[in-house]
Amino acid sequence: MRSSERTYVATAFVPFRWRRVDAVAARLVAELRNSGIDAERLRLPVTMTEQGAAGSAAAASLVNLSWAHNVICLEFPCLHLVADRMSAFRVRGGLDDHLLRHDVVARTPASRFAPDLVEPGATAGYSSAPAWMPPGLLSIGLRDRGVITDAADRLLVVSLHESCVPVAQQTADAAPGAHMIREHGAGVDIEGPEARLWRALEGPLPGPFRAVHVVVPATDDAAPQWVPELAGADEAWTIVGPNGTQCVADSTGDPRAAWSAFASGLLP
Amino acid sequence: MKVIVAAGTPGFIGGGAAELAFSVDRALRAAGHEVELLWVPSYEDTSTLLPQLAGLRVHDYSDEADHLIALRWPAHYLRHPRKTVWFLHEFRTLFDLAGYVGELGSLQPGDAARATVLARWERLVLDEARAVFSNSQVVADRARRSLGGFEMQVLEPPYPREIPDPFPFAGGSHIVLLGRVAPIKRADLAIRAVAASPGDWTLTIAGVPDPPAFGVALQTLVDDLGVAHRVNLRLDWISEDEKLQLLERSALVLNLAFAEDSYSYVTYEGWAAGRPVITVSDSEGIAHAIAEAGGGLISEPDPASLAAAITDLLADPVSAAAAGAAGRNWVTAHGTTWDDATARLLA
Repeated sequence: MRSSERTYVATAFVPFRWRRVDAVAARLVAELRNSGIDAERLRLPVTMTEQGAAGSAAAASLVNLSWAHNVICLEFPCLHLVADRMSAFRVRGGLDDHLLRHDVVARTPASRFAPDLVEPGATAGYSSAPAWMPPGLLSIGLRDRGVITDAADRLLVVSLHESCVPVAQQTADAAPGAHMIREHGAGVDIEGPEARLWRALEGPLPGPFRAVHVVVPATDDAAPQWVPELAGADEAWTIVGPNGTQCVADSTGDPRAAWSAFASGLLP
Repeated sequence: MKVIVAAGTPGFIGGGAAELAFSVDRALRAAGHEVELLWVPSYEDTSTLLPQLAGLRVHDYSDEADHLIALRWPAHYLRHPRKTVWFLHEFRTLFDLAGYVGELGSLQPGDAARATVLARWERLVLDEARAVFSNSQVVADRARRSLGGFEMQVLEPPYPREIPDPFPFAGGSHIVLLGRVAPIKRADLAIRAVAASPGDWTLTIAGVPDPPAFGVALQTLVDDLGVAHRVNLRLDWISEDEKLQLLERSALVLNLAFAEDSYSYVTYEGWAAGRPVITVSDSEGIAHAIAEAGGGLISEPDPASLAAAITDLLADPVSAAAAGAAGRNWVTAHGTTWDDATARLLA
């Protein structure tokens, strides 16, 4: 892999909606660029009816990107692109979930996957779903590759709601050298807590950290499921605070280093 | 209002079209709209051209957005009942550059038939738009000729950012050529002009080589002509700050692109800095703007003529300063505002 090589990180174009797959793609591009690789996002037009999906796949198959050196596909219909060097990583919540029942997805040739980049235990090919779906976004390859380590005895505390600040602050105060991020403000409720966590982790962090604690409101029922995987957790536990807040904590390594390794691991 | 701004892109390289897309995005957001930028891969291979365009026609964004603004080719092939096209150029390989042999390649077997089909398709997708603007009179004239009399309204893009203060004109003997370093931009002509000039003026060429091999070719040319002591090749992306620094210490700006669609941002930026611009007679949009503004000189497109024009202007700093000031006046007084432009695009 030479730094002059050009790498596309490809997703579908789904406008005016926050999606985790877009956050993953943006972060991948940033990490690849940090590694000196000329990376860009590519968002493919897509129509999300069953008939439209077939047309979208056909349209993507007409786009020839052989001149680009690498294409990393994160969701439908990117695997239909024409490219000489292509790898794939499915992101939970991407269009593959939505289109799984459609024949057009099942027909995606399994040979277009790079098998070593598919989650261990998964079968290459869309038609084998849902067994192939990675259980956690950051879990792929990171622990196996030894990236997540106890690199430093530091704690990152992320508060995703104003009501969580007291608990977050209390947690941070109790840990020497802890760093706290308050990620809340105008408009964030529209985007949801997942978007806020992504934004928090995308900023420059004074890592590495031994652990990441994410504090979310107790009313956010989905938090225990999505927080650990986003933070790259090996394990997670939930604490319900005295004021009704819920503290989800996990043991993890440095999220930035993890991202960097994740990005480089996806290169064909 | 939810607005999709779609623009074709060759990928991995910036340029005037990308700058325009970012400008439209900023202006729409400033006006309170929600905006999504969609970069549509563009292509130069004529053999796969028509199927790829057919693929774009699959997509209709009626449900996702209130309005679609299509910029660089081929974004206008997307469907939307409220579609506005700001037309920057045609598929140049088959139309205005059909006779040009450069990085775009020469015509292939079957291209004449493809051009006929393409002209018909262009009319189809442009006719369905609510409004079609061109970025210059040159583009509007070309479209009228190649698309059976199709008429576009001219909407020249306003300056992409806040217009910076001009730099005092200090003369000197350094000149600069900025922007994408592609064969059609003819940095090689500038290097040959250095070799053809007995003067001691120096030249900086700054920008990303496209393709990368062209940068290597330029370095070889500099070495072969023995002008390495007078030519600085800064073949990389440069920041806005570095660009302004280069303009500040330059006496004049070269913009030698062949058959340019419009005045081009390089001309705009040179003039905004108060520097005169020298172009060549076959640069079309650039020459047209310089003639209109009085902001520089127009040379014949050969090394000796270009070297003479540069030498003359460097030797006459009073005229050079006046031309730079005229260009600056054209930038500040010319065209429309972004508020007006976005209002017209969404009307």
